[in-house]
Amino acid sequence: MTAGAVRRDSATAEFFDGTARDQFLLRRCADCGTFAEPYLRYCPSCESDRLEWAAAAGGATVVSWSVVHRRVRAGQPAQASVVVIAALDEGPLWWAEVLDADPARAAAEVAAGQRLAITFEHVPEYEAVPAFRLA
Amino acid sequence: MTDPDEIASYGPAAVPRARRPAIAGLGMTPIGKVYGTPAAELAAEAVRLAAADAGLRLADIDGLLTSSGVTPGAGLHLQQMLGLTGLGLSCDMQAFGTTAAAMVQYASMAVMTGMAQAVACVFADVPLRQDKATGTAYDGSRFAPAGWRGLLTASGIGAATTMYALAASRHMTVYGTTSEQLGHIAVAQRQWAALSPLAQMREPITLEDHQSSRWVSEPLHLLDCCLVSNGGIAVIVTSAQRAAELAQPPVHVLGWAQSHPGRPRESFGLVSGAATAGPAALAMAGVKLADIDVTELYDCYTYTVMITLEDYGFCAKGEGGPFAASGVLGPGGKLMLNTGGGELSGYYLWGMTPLSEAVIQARGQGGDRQAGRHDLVLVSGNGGVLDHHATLVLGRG
Repeated sequence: MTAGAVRRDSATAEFFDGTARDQFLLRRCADCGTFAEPYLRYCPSCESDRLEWAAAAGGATVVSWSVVHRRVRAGQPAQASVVVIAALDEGPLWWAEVLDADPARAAAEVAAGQRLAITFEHVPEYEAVPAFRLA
Repeated sequence: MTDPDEIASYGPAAVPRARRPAIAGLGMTPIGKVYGTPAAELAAEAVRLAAADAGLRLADIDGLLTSSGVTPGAGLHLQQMLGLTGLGLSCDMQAFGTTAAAMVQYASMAVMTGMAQAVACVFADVPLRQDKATGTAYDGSRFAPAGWRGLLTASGIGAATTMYALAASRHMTVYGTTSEQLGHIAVAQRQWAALSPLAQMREPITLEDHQSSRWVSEPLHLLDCCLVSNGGIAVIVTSAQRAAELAQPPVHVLGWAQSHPGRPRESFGLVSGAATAGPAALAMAGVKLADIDVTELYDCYTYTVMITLEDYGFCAKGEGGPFAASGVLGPGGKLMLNTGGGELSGYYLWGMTPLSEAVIQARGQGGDRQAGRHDLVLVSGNGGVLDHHATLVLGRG
């Protein structure tokens, strides 16, 4: 499916500045170097408040997958999309769609351990949404 | 969290028997496709029914804990609707599916410490609308498409079912759990529902029905998912001494615990808060899992039942699937589990579903579905996407 519309708020402004230029921004601790999810306020390792924005390298590995079946209208066939929880190479988990995975072959294509690459869907008039592609 | 060996000395056993907490009243409005009554009115009616069930007047209530589902309504203003004055305790609470069990916990502590003598704990919700498909109630479309939550929805993962599907899928990958094994839970609970006049879905289903029901989010079929219901349920928590003088058999609150693991990278989907809260609640009650007669587990999905069984220790970690498929479930099985059909087939009022059936069973008022032995009842609440867990150990007599 095409990514849905999402608007920024004060907590997500920097993150969406990053997705607009095809960067997935993580938090990196200026004191101990630990990478953290973009929504964290303090370092999960040393609790420092000196977190900086740092772009993820772009590699990830599938942890878990699902095929979502949406019924747009009663009587019409469901639309299927493949979504995953993936571990970014920096450590944090991220939940998003795998754009080029075939829903009918998801068990093979996005089995745990499958490598992925971060990509971005640019939605007109809304924020760009991070997603994955098979790597 | 407190050392399990010490927990018992902090629980109800720490106070004189007369001041230990007990559930004395249960009120249930009509539940299911009940249209046209706002959540606040259902909440008020549930409190009135619970007080009447206990043999109390509304004026006897001196504590009020309220909670809403996806539709706001049951809040602090209930005090005014009910005409209550002079409360010693009042709070609107939200811990998602753990709220009902948590409300009983806070009410119990209030009773033990003398803050209040009769605490009404109420939940009401009206997610079903006559002009909307059932699935729209929890598909995320009611959440504003902004910020982190909006991003998840925009990423195609807005529905709770998809998030639980990702959790279940990880469990299947790591432990080999199968959809057929989860299906046994759905079939067994439908068998229980057939025995309950309160249940919304009473037509028997087979494992084949489960397997052929449409995918919602793989690996979850439609029959892995709970119902959506409108309605309100309330309980009254008071002291054991007071409860003994009231209309219903007292249901003692013997032990409790909560665990809020969040979503740890290494264990999300594989281990839930039940692994911590279950043993702690049993320790507070001074009982063992083997002593439990009836178990009422939060079952937003079949998967939730499976992982809670594992984490409470009914079977080893990773063996929840084979355990569920081993014939222990359903009427006549050795495990008296979700005896009202649960949220899958009975009715879905968040944590009030397992709590209400637990009170009915502990009292011995389950009719055709009544468990033969019902001295000790274990109850779970689960909230968010395995973010929150609460456990109660209830007992009669």
